[in-house]
Amino acid sequence: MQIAIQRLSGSQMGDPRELVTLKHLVKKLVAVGVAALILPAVLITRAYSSDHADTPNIAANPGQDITDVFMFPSPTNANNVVLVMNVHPLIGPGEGTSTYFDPNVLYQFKIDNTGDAVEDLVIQAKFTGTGATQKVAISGPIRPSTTGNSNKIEHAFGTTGVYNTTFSPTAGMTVFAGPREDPFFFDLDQFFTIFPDRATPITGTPVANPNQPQSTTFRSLATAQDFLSVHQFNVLSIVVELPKASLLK
Amino acid sequence: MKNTHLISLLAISVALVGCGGSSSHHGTTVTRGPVIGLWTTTSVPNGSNYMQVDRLARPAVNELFATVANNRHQINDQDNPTDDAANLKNDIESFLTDVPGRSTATKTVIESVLIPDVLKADLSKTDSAAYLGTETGGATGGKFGGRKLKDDVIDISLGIVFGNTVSARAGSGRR
Repeated sequence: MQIAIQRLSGSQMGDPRELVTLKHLVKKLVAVGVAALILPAVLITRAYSSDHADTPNIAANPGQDITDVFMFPSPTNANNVVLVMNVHPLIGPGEGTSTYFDPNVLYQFKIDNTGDAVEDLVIQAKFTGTGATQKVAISGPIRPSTTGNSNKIEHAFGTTGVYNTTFSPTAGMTVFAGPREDPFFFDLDQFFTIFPDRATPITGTPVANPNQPQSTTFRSLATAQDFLSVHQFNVLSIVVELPKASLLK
Repeated sequence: MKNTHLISLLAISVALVGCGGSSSHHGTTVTRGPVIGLWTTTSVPNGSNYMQVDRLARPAVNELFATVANNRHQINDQDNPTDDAANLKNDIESFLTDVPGRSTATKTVIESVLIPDVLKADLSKTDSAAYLGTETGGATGGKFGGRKLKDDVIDISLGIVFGNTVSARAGSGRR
């Protein structure tokens, strides 16, 4: 499995008050920054009012909050594909091993293999406990008895694994569930040099010449700075590697 | 930044439909794959069932196009890809008309690529994964599609919305 691509960031504990402030700032930057990136200057006010990526209920329950989805060929087995679902945004450095999946939540990958946008197969994950020994159980891919937004547990969960430890629920399938560095990236600093007028409304810090771009492009891969990894934010990842053929049934 | 060629998107995505193996299901022949659509959900207990509270597939689609006003964002979080043609499509339509000012033809192509909101991959392809690679015939870096950890989805999304780079927007080139 290609879990090694993402490393768990930050093991040192920072000042808790500083961390809380930083979290708020970055949450705001994620939402406002990305929205502002797309919107022209005349609509910056609108960007402010439409920036929240999540509903209040989701924001209050980070274990329900999906941050990113990935799907790529297995780097080690040409017959396999890897599915990744990340939840629980903005876990600070040092908090990665003390933050857990929500045991109330049913986590699902849904797969349409006929092109009608209706799920033909589901992979379901459920967690029990909340400590370092939190258990994860995965079932599927299985054809669901109901489709849409009201679902049930389709199959009794069999083999369980432990949080932050790779395991194999069935032959040919490998699962990891635990904290990883958030792979989403965005060079916010450079964005502010391209659009200085966006900086003040977002950071609250006045800029000398807000209408004078200091740069016209994003930085090269070698020099770009991802603000999520600079501040060492983690997410909780559910990673499933399984045969491609098992998704075409 | 990648400049995604919008004009070719529709033709390619149409051409992709219908290739794959067949199997018999409920007495009719059903073609399964090789292109699949993936999305993820979280659900909480509601009576004897679990009710969906969040849904995600492509990055920054619902987040950018749907407004908090009128609860658009939450509605898309809690419904299904089959609802996107009625709901999320309207959000994209009003955003593209209102903000970037794209032509009707371009909007039609963008909507055909982004609706329904599922992450597509062509499991028969053995090249690199690349976000929107299935929809663009590999123009974003690989015909497998899907999304790899290092895909620059902000740049790719900007290419889709504006059809050009941020710097080019300041001058000419946007249609």
